[in-house]
Amino acid sequence: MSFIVLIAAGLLVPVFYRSNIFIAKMIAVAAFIVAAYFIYTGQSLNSVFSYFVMDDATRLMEFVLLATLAAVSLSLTGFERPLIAQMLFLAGASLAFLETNNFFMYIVLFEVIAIISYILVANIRNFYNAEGAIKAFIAGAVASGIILFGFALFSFTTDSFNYTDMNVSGKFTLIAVAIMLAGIFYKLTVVPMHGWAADAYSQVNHAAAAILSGVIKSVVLVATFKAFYKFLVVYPLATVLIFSFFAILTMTLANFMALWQKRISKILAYSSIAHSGYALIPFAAVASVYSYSGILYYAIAYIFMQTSVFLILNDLRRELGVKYLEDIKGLYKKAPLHSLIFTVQLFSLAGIPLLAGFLSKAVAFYAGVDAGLWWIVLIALLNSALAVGYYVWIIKHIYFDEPNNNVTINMSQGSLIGQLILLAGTVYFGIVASDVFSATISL
Amino acid sequence: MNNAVMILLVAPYIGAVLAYILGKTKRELAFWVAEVVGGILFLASLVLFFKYSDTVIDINYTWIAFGNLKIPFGIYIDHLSIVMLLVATGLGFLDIHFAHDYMGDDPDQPRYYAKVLFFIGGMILLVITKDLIGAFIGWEFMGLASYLLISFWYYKSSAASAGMQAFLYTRFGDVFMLAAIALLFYYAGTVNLVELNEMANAGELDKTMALVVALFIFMGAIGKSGQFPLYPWLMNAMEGPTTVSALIHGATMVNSGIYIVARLFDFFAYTEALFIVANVAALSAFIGATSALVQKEIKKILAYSTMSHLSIAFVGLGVGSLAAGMLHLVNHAIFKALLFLGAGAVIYIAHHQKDAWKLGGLIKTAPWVALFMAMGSLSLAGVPPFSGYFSKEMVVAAAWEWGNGFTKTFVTIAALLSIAYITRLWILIFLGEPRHEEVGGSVHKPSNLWMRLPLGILAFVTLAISLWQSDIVHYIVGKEVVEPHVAGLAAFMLTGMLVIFLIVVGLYVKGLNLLYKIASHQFVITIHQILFNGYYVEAMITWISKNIVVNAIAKSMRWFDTNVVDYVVNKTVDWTKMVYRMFKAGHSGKIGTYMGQFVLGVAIIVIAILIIVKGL
Amino acid sequence: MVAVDIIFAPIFLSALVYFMTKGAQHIAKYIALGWFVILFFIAFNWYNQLPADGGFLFLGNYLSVPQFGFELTLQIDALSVAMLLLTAALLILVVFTSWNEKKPAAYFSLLIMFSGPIFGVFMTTNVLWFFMFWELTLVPMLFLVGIWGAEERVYAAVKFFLYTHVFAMFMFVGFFLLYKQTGYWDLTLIKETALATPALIWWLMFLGFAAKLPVFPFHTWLPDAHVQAPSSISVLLAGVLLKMGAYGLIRFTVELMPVTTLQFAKWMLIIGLITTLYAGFLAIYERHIKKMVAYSSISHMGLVVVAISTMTYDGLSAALFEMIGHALVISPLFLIAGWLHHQTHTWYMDEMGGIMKKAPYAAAIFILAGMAALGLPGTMGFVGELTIIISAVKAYGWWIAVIALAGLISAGYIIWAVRRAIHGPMSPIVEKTAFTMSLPEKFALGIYAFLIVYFGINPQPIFDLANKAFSFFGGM
Repeated sequence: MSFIVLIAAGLLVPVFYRSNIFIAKMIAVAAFIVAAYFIYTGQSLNSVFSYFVMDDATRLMEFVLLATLAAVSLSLTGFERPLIAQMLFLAGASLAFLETNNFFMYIVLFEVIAIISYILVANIRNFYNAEGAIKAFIAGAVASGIILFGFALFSFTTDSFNYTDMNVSGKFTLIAVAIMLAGIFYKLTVVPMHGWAADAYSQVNHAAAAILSGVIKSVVLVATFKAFYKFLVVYPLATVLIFSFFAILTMTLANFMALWQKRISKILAYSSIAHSGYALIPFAAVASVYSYSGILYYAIAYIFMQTSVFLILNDLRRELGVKYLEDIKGLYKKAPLHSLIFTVQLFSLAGIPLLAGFLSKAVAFYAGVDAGLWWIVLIALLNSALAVGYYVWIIKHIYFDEPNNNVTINMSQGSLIGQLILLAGTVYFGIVASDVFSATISL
Repeated sequence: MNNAVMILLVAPYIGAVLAYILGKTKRELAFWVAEVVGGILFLASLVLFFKYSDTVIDINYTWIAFGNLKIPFGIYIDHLSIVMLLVATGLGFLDIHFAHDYMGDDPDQPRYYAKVLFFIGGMILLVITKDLIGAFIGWEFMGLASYLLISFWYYKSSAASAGMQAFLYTRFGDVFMLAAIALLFYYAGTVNLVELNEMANAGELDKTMALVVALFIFMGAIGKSGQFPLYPWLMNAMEGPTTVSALIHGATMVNSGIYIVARLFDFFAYTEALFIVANVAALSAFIGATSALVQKEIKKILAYSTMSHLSIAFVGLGVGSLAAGMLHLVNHAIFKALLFLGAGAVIYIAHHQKDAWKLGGLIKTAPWVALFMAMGSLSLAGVPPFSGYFSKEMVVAAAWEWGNGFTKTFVTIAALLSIAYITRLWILIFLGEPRHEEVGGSVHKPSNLWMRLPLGILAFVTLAISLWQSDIVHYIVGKEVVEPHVAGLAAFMLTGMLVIFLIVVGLYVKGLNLLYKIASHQFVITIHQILFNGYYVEAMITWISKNIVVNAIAKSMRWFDTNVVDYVVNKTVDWTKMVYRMFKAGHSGKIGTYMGQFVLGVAIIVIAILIIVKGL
Repeated sequence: MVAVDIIFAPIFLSALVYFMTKGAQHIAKYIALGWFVILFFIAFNWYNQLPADGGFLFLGNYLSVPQFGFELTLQIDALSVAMLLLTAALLILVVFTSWNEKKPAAYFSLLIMFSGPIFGVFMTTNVLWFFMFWELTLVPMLFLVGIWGAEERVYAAVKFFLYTHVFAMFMFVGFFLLYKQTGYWDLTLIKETALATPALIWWLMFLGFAAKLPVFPFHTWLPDAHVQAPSSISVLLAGVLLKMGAYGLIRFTVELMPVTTLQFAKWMLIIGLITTLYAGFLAIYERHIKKMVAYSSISHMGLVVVAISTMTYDGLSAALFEMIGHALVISPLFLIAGWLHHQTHTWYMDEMGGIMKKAPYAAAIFILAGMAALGLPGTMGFVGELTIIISAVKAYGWWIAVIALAGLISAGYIIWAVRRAIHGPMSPIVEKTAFTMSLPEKFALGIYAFLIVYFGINPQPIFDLANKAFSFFGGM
């Protein structure tokens, strides 16, 4: 039911684009709420098809996803309106993606989401947008090809695509999985498949970047973990080696790259890449019972904070033309509310406690320690401390410097509500950890 | 607790606060508070003297109980304490009294009297405490008061520096004392002064460790009592008001080193540290006496003489005669207070002119002061029947009988020379013609009540106390005193003193040509220079602290800190930039590059898997 | 009011204070003062409720996550209460000393925010929550130093934040390993289990605490942060934040892994000794008055490490006393150093001189606090130094008496500072400066002076707390 509601709303919304964008937004929000209700009552895709199942973790992730998308749609304005319908479709596809327990469906929906993301970035207003969109598209096309190649190999070796019944033994499978992972790493922006992301995230419209880097990445993280769980468990040595290697490579490179950027969007883009690196640790630590909690928590925390910072940057860019670090000097005077929320979310990204960013890291990294990878966790933590360097540097520009002009802006009500939803998520999951754990681990 | 003891313990501090607060409202009140409190303290000491001469006051109390340890704080008042109390409070009272006129013009009187009372409190604490910790507290209180009073005229650069020097020199010794306390806690299990003596007598202490402790305590005493090599502060301390010099740097605080050795006499005797005490003291006595010969400032002459006489008292202790040492301490305190206050009167009369070479002829304007100073000088010189004669004679005799050659020689020279420099001082001040226009013209008249009276009292006492010399000795030491007897010593000393006296008179009164010829010889001038600068010990210590401690050790550490430790920290920023540049090379923004990297990534994964697969 | 509110309420109320008092900013300081006084009385109430046998006073369990064995356990013992009382007292005094601070609404709301996590650090026995509060204290400090600081404030604030954050990460891994090996996040429960390979955990945690204390060679953030911070914030940094390091050292190494700590005690001792002497010499060479005080602060923390390293009942008691003593002694020094800079616009002592004439009150307090810093009897500094030396000699033997030298070195820099800045003839700069000190500042300085002398003469109340806190050590 939830799927139908979202798709229907997605078809309905463009009707109001020209006349009244407010109604379009309200319809979208209503659709998200109704969908959430159906998920709550258990009437999602799982009630129709047997290869979709609903469990606590999925449900939690879906609630978070819908809340985030609602927040995003509330804060959109003007030419960003096509995103509303696209988000409704994205929500529908994501629900299916998260709920599926069939590897074939996983691959299909992965491609669906990839296509939606190409459409998201296709909202081209200028040269930079176009460059970002093209990069995302070409890289995505190559990745799709690789994934399908891996999947083709895999389909020769297995009798069933059901997650629990898949045939995972055999050397062939291992190679197939490796090739598929290479494709998926592209979507997760793992170094060295990250090149497109650094440009695309920073160059496309920031609202689209918020969805691309925040929402889609989180969904892919959770769904991929579920899909590949069985492989990862069966080949512990390969898992630990590959994922640790790429985790360290990704976070280190991205953090050093972010540290000396001058464009804020580029900093956030590299920060997003670095976070992918952290998120690979629970994959490596799949031997631990906490790995699933870790990945889920990471996705939840990440979706709130990353979406929020890009949306605020979107606001700032629209109202103040903010592009570079110099542009946000003394921002606390020009836009106090933006500054405060931006700061809190940046602290969350940096991993400061009482915010979701910290607890998610704590859980994800503990999974690593639990699996015996304490030295990788140490490197990851030092990396996150390094990352604090550029987050604090942004905050430094906002609060410690004086503004170069006296323009002041207010936050629109839609943005404010949207930001408050995201902020509530960041703070709630920063203090209360029990939801995620009870969803993933039964006592 | 006994009322008198309570008053002695607490009254000085209350008095100090009161003097300051009341003095702020009305300046004279500060003096009166101090005078009254000083009187009360002296009375309390007298009460103790008359009431508790038969029994010992012994009060025990735990100050801090932490962990498995207890830091005690006890009061122990025996005859030694009572004598010291009488000296401290009596001289303190007279000194405060004298300050009425001497400090009468100073706007900062409240601060002055508060500090003086605080000082007396510290001295009292030192002499009535039972434990080394209490002694250390009093010791440091005095150090602080001395520092603040030397720097009383803080706006004078020299006074401020002198205060700093005094504090740091004495602190150097005190640090050893603090270490001694810690060592005693561990190795003896007690810091109780009385128990330490008992344990020493019973031979219960590890001898090596006890020697270390004794030497550490003696280091403290060296600092406080201005012995070699930590004496230069005492000379520079003369930058303070003369009343302060009289009380603190002449009569009381500088005695505390001697007191602590006397208090731990059995302990020192057991550890054989007395041998070192005697030798260091003899050397100091010689240095002090010779340097005093050539100084120009009145107060510096007195300061060197103080150092020398303290050393003589130390020698008495060092060669094993507690009686001689303590007797000389008491006598010296009185005549030195007299001389300093007399010098204060002279300075007061001569409009704060301290250079002896610029004074002269004051006997006409201040005959009484001249008389009292003469009495003090004779006592210091050791001329019978003044008290100084008896105690100094006793020390020298003891040194001849029990001391080694070094001690014997040096202490004798020092004892003989005292007549030289004090005579020189007296002659320069009082005889001849005024050598400076200010002194020659109008002078301050010393008032009878505030200046002549305290001087007179002290002059009287220094003479009168000669009658009770052996009583004092017995009162302090108690048991049978083994008095040293050296045949012909008195005659030798007196003859020697007479010869020296005549030379001095010849030189300074008659102006003998021969002597001038000797004095202007290059060799003599060099000697003179060395003596005048106190054997360059100060220069050496200053050099060490400036060039070694500050400019070598501290500076190199600073260099290390900025150029190594912090450099690494700050350099991390540049290093991250280097790494960034390295990584940046791979981010051309061209999609072809990205595709290449993509393929590289796929290749890494696949190759890794193939390797693992092969291994399977 | 439940215990957990004390921690969380200020974190969220601070935003409220910030936006509510925008119109009438001076109200913020009264709100802050009121809140800190309430905190003090709450802490005092807990002080009275402490169990006589020295155990923990249980305050509650919150936010339980049974799957992860993780909950916010609040319980306090004498050590925590000592720290809480100190924190609350310093916070109250800080309000007075920053009475006329610029942008009061933001300033005091950050102070209020700071009070939450700092209480949390001392109140929780859950290791992960401890770490969370530990990290959270950095945030208000970052802003307080970065916005209200002196010329180099940004550099100092960022350096401070990053430095302590980086070293906290080592500690964080240590905590993870701790949980992995014992299966508990709660200290009191971990204590009852046997740790298998604690050496690694010990060193990881030690690094975190060492940078906070700080000890050589992890100290270079401190002179920058303390100097650039406004004086009142230097007080909090030195008085409270550094104490977190010492507190952590006692809580997590000494109490949790006594055997391992004993094994590595000699390293702690060496580090502590080097820190004491090294920072002392740096202070001697320093012209910059506040840097001198900052190095003095490091030097004293070195003594605390020496005391902790003895691993004895009396050594720890002495350490606790020195922690409190250091806070009360170094605070007025920082305040007056900052105040002098504020008045004369110079940092250098040789450009001051003769302050005593113009500002006798400040000069007197500076001398008193300086005397306490060099360990003069009658002040807290003496009691701390004496007990530390005694306990160290008892634990290590005669040679450790060399730390008495610390008393000489500190005398060197304090007395020289007094000579240059306070005494001496008036410098031209001082001559033309009109010194003013507000009444609240005077009041706060007076309170510091009183406390320094009061606990210097009657230190037993603090040692009673210490005896309670470390009574479990009695048998060792």
